[in-house]
Amino acid sequence: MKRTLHFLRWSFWVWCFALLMTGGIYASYARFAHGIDHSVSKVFPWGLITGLDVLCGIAIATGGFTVAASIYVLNLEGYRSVVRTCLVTSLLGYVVAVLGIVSSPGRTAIQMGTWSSHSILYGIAWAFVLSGAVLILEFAPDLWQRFGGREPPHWMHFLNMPLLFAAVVFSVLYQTSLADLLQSLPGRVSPLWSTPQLPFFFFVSAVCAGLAVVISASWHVNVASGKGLSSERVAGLGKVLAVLLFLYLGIRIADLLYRGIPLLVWENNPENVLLGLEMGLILLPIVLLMNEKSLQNPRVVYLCAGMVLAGLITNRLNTCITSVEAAMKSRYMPGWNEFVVAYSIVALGVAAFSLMAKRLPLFLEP
Amino acid sequence: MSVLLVLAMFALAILWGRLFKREVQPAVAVPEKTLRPFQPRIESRFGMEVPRSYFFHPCHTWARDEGLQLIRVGVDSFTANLFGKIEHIDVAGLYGWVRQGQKLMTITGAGIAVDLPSPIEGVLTAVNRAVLDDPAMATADPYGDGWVAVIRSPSFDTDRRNLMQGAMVAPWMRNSMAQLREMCSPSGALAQDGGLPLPGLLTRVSPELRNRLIREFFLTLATVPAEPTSQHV
Repeated sequence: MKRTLHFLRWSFWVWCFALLMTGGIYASYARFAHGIDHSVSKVFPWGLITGLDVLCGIAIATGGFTVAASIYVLNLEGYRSVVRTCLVTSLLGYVVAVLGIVSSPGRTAIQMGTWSSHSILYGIAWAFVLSGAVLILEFAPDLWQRFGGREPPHWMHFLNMPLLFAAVVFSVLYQTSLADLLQSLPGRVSPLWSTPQLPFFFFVSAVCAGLAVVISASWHVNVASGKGLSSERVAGLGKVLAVLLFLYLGIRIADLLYRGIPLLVWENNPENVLLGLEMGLILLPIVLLMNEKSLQNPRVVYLCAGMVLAGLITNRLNTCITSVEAAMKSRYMPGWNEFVVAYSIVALGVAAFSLMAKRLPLFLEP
Repeated sequence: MSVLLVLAMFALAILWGRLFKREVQPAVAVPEKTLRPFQPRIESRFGMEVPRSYFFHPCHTWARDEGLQLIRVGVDSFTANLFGKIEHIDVAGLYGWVRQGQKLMTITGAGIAVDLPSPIEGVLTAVNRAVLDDPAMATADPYGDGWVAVIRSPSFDTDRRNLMQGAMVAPWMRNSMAQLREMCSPSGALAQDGGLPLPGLLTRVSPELRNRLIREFFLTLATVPAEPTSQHV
């Protein structure tokens, strides 16, 4: 009896995960079996699942790959321990994005198996496969030695690098093509977010998100098991994040001004409030991370990383939901099944990362 | 407004997690398979006991590399001798992150409480339950069974550059002794040979001198001890 009721002692997060997964599976079944009853329509082609799972997942994946590749290219030996976390977050970012795409009936992954280079899914399929291959090769030397091998074969290192760079190219291309897709509806997207520079903005914000994910992952791993980055490394990543955020905010404001969109004219409408929130979630981390004292405090850097991730979510949802709301003078409210599916996919990604952080030496020098 | 709803749900989940965070698990020693038992190799230098392969923080705490990024830490014989009898030891929260020089433990004895810093940076992964239950172990065998905690430190190679090690240790200890002798000479609190201090020196000197000694050797201020809590960690 005691053993039967053991599951009642699950923690809050495990209960949340179990409920979300149950709800997510049921909602997915309902969506596929009985058709879509959510609010995505011809007016709102991209809803919560696209904004939260697909756009944010791809952004985190692109950021992770770019940070990993930059560490190799710039030969930052001190930050070599970050590479594995970047690769794991990239792979999970793609898993979340793919699940988000698959969860939208009508856009299923049938095209993923074809060789149609014009398909948007073609790029993501390749990036997904390459990220998996790079990750396997990254951990392969450890597994090789665990199963009795002495020196890992040379081809493991030899293959890893070209695959990583191919994955970076695909993920950047996919990221920019997503931004192009959002640009493809002239007049139906608010000029606050619709700009020819959107692919570049998507890329820079994705790199910021990649760094933010690494910092917050390190914090959680440190609290749980002490296997995370030292505060010296966290401060270094915080500095780079501050510079990139500054660059992003600068070009974002310059772009708005160049296109003649007044920033200082305050109109009390939701899109202005949400744009202000988005900018605030970039500006506040810049101010905090520019201060040397707060940079030395891993808790503050972690807080900034959290704000950057919240800023990324706000930006992607603003781009695909708020901007359409503003242009079409209409309101979008996701249905319950969209909420459940979107959150269950995010929960799955977070749970998978927790499991991998427990089982794999993510932050240790290989 | 669905954007605000999404952000609010994430914020609520994080807030809930913070508010109803699980209580810290009671302190446990790490399993034997990761932390092997050890016997310190003590050498005699200048009439003092100097352990080999130990790293010392200037505030008289030590660190010893156990492999697999696990570092055992404790207080040195100088501290043990100054206090004579340690009545209580409080250690920072288990699984919490401590930085080099940040408060790791508070030792209470001689009517005062003194905060001692961590010699290295990392996560506190184990606390010696035996020494918390019987703090006299820290004075009886400071380099052996009197160890206080184990820290998992990914940056030990960097941190140890700030610590006294190898041939530096004996002269540093001798200097500490000389400084102590100089500060205490008018009070006559040293042994008749004028060298080693009497055990429990802090109980034998005036409060002013005691505060000066604490400030000099532990770079902190002595405080009035709080009521010992039932939960050590």
